Amino acid sequence: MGSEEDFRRLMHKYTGKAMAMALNLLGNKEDAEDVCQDTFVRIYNHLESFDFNRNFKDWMYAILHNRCMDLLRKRVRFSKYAVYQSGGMNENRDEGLTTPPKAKKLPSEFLKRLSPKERTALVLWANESYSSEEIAEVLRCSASTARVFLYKARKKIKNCLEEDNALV
Amino acid sequence: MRWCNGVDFLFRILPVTFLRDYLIRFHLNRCERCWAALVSSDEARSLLYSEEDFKEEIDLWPRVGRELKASVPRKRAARMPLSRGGLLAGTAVFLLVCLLLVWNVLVQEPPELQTAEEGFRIRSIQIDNEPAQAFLYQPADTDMVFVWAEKNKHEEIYYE
Repeated sequence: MGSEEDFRRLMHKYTGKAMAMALNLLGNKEDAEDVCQDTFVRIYNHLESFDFNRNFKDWMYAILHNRCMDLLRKRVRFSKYAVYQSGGMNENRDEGLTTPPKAKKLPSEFLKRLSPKERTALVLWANESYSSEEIAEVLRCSASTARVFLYKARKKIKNCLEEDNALV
Repeated sequence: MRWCNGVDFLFRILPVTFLRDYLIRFHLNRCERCWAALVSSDEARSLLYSEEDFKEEIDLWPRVGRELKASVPRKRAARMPLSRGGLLAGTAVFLLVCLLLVWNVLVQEPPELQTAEEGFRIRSIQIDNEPAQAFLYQPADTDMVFVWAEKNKHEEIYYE
């Protein structure tokens, strides 16, 4: 295991990528920061189990994806509880996707139409030019499944854009 | 056109991943018309957050460094092996408890119940100044003794 200084340099290199992925998945900057922090702590604590034949970025994305999925599951549970507590007043709440504090790029309405795995596949494909096989490595599924996720995500976003243009 | 619609319909109704994958690989990703129905990577990239949006802005190290410093003692404590003495003491206590249980259940016999006749002695019972029959009852696990007397004009019962 390297020193903390080495890890700091490694972290600095990948923070942007991790934050972009987390924000695209979660749609909330504070949650994205929390998830990234948790991901890097886990990476540091499990560096000794890292297979150096594997791509570090894939490993990081896999951990990050799992953390995001955990958070989204928690949000679903919490939103169900909140709806129950408020007697159904929060029915219009989405699964936790809030408007990002920064300049909005992809409207959360668009993102909501994608499942978390579809979002991950789309982000990896668009931002990192990942192939289906590489996406599958991150999502821990077969390449076929990854291809289906990506296809569905691309089609849904295209439909969203066309609907949006039609409205304008 | 019809063929494309047919493939699209098949893709929607087929729940099996490998069949959907087959349609994607052998038609949807090759057909120009179907390809146009998908968002391109440039379009998608322009809509998504990317690394460049966070390069200078975010520094997670202070938070992560704090968390790492806090997690080191926890990690050490979690990895501390059980001492040899503790293991032996634990095993000894476990064996002792097992022995006690076995002795209690199998070896120790329940205490014998004292019969009423052995514990009590009634010299005579009379009803209306005449000797009567007496019966003694002692319910199990109690010290109570019930005495039942009946008239018996011909006999007088003595217990020694």
